[in-house]
Amino acid sequence: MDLDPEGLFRDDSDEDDDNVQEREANKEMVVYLIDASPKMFTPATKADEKEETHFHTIVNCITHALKTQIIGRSYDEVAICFFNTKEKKNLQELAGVYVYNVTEREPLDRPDARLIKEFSCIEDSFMSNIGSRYGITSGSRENTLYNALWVAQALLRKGSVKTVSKRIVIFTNEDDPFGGLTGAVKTDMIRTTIQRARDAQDLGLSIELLPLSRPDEEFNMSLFYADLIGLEGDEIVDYLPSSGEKLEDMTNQLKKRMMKKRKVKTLAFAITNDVCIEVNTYALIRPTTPGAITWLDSISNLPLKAERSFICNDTGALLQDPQKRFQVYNDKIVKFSTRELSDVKRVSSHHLRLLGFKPLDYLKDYHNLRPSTFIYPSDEQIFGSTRVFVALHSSMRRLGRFALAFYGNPTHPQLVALIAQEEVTSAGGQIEPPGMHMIYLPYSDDVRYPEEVHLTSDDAPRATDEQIKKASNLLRRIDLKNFSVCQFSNPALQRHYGILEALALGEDEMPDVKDETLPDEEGLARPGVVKAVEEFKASVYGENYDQEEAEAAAAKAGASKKRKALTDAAAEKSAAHNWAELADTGKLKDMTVVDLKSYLSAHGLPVSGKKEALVSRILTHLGK
Amino acid sequence: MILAVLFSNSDGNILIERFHGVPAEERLHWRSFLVKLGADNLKGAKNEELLVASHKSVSIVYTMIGDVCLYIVGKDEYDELALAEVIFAITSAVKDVCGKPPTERLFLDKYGRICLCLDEIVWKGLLENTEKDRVRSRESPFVFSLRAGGGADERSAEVDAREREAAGRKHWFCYWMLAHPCMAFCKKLRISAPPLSDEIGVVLFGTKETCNELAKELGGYKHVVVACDIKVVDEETTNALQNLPRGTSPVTDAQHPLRDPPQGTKKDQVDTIADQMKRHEIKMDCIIFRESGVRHNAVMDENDQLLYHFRERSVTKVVQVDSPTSLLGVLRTRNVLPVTVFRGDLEVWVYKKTSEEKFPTLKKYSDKAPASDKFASHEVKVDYEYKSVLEPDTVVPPDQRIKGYLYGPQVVPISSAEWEAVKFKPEKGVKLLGFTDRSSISRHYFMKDVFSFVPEPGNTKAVAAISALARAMSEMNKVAILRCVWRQGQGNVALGVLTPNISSAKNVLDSFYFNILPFAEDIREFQFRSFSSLPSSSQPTEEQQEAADNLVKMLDLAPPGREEILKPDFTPNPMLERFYRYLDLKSKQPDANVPPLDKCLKKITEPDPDVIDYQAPLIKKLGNVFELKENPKKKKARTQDRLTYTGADDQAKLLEEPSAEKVGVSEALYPPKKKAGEIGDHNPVQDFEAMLTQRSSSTWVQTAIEEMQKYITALIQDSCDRDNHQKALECLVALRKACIIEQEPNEYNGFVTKLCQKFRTAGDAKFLQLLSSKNASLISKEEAPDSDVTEEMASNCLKPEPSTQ
Repeated sequence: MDLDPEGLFRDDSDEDDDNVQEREANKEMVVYLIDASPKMFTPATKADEKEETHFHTIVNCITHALKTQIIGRSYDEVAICFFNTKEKKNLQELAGVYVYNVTEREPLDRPDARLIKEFSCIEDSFMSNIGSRYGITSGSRENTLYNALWVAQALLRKGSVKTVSKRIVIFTNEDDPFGGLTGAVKTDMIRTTIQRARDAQDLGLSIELLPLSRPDEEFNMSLFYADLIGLEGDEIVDYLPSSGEKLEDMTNQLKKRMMKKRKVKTLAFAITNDVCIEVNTYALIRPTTPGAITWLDSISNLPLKAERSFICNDTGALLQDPQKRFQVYNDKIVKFSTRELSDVKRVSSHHLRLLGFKPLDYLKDYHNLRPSTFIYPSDEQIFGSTRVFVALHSSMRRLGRFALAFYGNPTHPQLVALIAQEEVTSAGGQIEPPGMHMIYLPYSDDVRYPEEVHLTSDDAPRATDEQIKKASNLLRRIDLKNFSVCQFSNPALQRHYGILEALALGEDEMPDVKDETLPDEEGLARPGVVKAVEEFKASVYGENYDQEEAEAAAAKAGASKKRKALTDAAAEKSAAHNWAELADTGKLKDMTVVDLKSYLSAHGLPVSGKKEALVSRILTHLGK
Repeated sequence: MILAVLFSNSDGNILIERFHGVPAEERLHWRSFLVKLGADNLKGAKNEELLVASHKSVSIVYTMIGDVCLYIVGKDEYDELALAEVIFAITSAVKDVCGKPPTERLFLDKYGRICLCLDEIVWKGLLENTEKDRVRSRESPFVFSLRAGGGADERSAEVDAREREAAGRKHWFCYWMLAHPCMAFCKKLRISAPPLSDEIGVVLFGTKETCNELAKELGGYKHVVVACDIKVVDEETTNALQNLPRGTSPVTDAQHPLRDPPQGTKKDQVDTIADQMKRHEIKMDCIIFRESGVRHNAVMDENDQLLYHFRERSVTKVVQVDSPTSLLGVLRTRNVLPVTVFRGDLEVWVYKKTSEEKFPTLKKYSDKAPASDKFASHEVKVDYEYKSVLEPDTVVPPDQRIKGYLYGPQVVPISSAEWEAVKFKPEKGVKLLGFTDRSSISRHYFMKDVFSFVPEPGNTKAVAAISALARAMSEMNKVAILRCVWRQGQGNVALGVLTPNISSAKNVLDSFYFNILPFAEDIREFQFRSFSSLPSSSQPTEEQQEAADNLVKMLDLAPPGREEILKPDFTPNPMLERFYRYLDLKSKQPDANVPPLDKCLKKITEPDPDVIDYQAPLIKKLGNVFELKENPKKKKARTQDRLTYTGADDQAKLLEEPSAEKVGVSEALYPPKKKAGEIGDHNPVQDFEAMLTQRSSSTWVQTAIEEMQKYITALIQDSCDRDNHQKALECLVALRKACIIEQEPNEYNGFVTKLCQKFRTAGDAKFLQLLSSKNASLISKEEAPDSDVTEEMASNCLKPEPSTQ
């Protein structure tokens, strides 16, 4: 059976465009429910008075989470809601619940700079504006937790559960909210609250708890909250430590644009003339860029619209988008239509055509041009594709081969190497997914031979065994243990996000982003390492290398010392005149050239040229 | 392209200017722009400090040397880095001429010589010569030596060497192979030639005739023909190469030993020639073409050894290829002058090892200029204007624009000055983070094109250091992790892995490759279902697994005893190759259609038919054990038709190919120019389908259908008897199928209706019956949405006696 790729897979967008906007689907909506009872404002540990309160920890954590989210998933929506408050602010007019918000923003909306900024310093004004009190007390019929859940559920009413994942996250350090009550009132309240939570969960809202343990006692899940979030058996024991991690994660998350899993393209992979299977491609590794730039009018800060116009160079006439292209060849103008050009580029009728197999070591380190693309089979249009793919995958793994294929991309037809990747998992989940990596190979036109530029006609010198031994020793010393490819964050990008955040939030200080890519100076200064380096240097460069180097440097320094002495003398001399005044009164032209030059050399300016040039240079330097 | 080189004095008066490809009316703009740029920024700049600016799509590097300002404007491949290279060459040449950083007066005194040097360095907008001593001679001619017949012959090599002496510094290619593929070469030459002023001469050896200077003057030197003297490539060269004499002379047959020289050994003679070549800085690239399966004998081995001795003795590169495809790959379309990306730490020079050769950017064509205007450039200027959203009529000037970055729903404006003050500014340099096991870095993490770390030429200590590290790394299977900042002021760091490249040739230094690795932000953690958890319906059975194993084993592209097939280093880019051939064709015939890929290039995009034939049973097995089915729900309306369409087409091709393959190299390089533009009597249906698949121009389909209609009409009219009816019917069925696929139902319907009427009036019902028996009725709406014929109408139309009559 031969499947024609053009008919089957028409979805033939030109490039792997990865910058697709995150779609409305797959969005997340979160309501943070924060306990604001006075208990939250007591210091977290007894010993130290200055210790942070739980409330502070939470505000800090949510602020960080918001800052990360606004960069990573800015389409997600967020609401912040306190309970056990003095004031109330919610649509339902329920007591003890305060929905926090800033102007120009819906209660549940995308986070913006103002929200982050004002929320981060909420502690200063919290007591005066919102206030804290115990909500559930004996004698009052109010159930603030119940109210809070009710408000949260109401906030999450918009959007369908099918496309949006909705969460309620509760922060509290009170493991027994109804502890102060007794009797029928207590059981009744517990029952209604849990029922409320169940109803919410039935509507597709997930409820999470981030418990904070007080210094004197562990947070006891089984008292109440296990029932509320629906935990059973062992889950209760495991919940507490894992929630601690979650809190940590929220604070320390890397600012990173989150990409939802989506396929780039569906390809027909022709293995032989008769066997053609269906595979999907995914971009697992792509360089992240700081994001799109919008041009603004610097006066009004309004966005600008770019308009393109085509102008004929010969007549100046305005053209519609010209369809013809040309190339000058042999002093002749050769015209092409866009259709002809696309026909030229279309060198293959198949998307992906298997050509054969080669041993893995035939793939050289320099056979690379672009980030690889990941391939995973799909049975969506052709049943049985996965089976063929799995069989081929395991054969290639076992025989140590990679497949050479031709990828007939309409703009970039290229030879590709397909490397079978075995699944790698760890406790944390999948590290490497199973499938094939498509590596784009260069053509002979793309490969250069810089190592042959400086060919010598004699034999090239090679290192001696002794030198190689010293080098091996060095390698052993400077060994990166447990190196993994993606352990470093991009310092430029993190800095970009940092600056953006600081400017958006109007912070005065620019953030200090740690450059993780710098070498470990401390480690390299260890005596063992230093010794290995010295030995290597000595064997390669000779014993006296440092000295020679120092001499060379000294020679340079000598010259610079002389220069410095000159500059100093000139500075002294030029200090004798009040140059600004001279310039203002126009008396500079009356000075001697020597005097003028003294000013110039004192300020490190060129001293060449005619007197007029000198004067104008001084004036420019003085800013006149 | 280096658009402009401009010298001015400190007051902004132009001293020298050279524009390349800048229209006269734009030059004024550039002059004032550059001078203003210098006036703004060069005041107070240090001597020879390089300043960089960019304007639209071009980059500008400018500096002050003595009292003179120098500006260079470049675009495309001449970015800041390349321009820095150019400016270095120019400043050092100027200093050389003047003896020191020049004052304006000194500069004008030496005006003539500076102009000369400048033209040597920058020629027609390209960087020509950077080394000072080479700036003296402009020529860098190539001698192409095509050997007809094959085999090595020292005598002809000597001729080449002598000839080269006459011409000065040259670059010489020596082909020991048949002369057939030369047409492909000369096309390639033409491409690379126009922008460069490379000169090419062609010397053939192993020809029947003798025609060279030495033979005339000194005698001897037989069977050597100078096909073309050294000069810039033009039409004449191309023609000379196209009409090459083929080798017949037995004297230089590949299998024959070299005659012993009068004195010394053959090896000594090689040494003499090699020394001579070295003295004249002649480089030799030697491409040996030898098809697989050639038996080696003692004579051939000796000849090979002599040739390889050349490599050891002189500056020669020898490459061996065994297929025409590889041969095309070895000849690159463009010779790129390597430019260092970085020089510094550890005394390394960093170059690009791979860099994608892009499809040329064609200019937009404007047809507004009157036909009488011979000098019209036909270029189109693209103008961008930024307009405020609120007031769409006012244009916002460039200096009033400011960049805005998205932060959540809001846009944060950041001026470039502000940005410059706070942005990430790493120090230039290469830093070692440490070494790690090679296995900890999977191959698929390599991000970009590859760099090469080469020791500083001439620095033996650096050579030893790099060689020691590379060899230690390769022995211990380690790689180094580096952090690189190539330039000062670069806004990013490159984190990557350094892998050793142990040189296999004696005269090539050990070096490293450097590949960029991703950062944490660049990795997307998508989860995929593990293969072991797939349902059993997706797991291969033992039989299927075995079939797959066999396929992987048998479709081997690196079979023992043969050169690796489709090695990237020798595989040309079929798209570029085809484009340049088309360009050449179109320059002669402006309305030519895109030629199909020839056999040579087809071997890159499709599996080698030889191998497929050979492994046919195996492949068939694979098709049999796996069952593939289309998902009926996803099936699109036209799929089925398309399937049968290409199916038939592929088979037709398969039938042709094996026989064509055997014709060999010459056939492969010159595909028979059979144009599928006519429908012949012999096999009309296939001709028709060939025409359709050609579809290189939009009108093709229309033409094919018309041709077919004409042919059918002719068939029917010609035949008084009914012999031709069967044939006509077949054609009609083919036409019908094509019309459905091409969505041209009305073409067919109109044609058949006419046909029917004709037969009806003639009272000949037989053909109509035939038609309906073959189910060749009108195309109904069901089959093609464009049709306005219902199913009923379709079936009625072929009834012999319609109710209406």
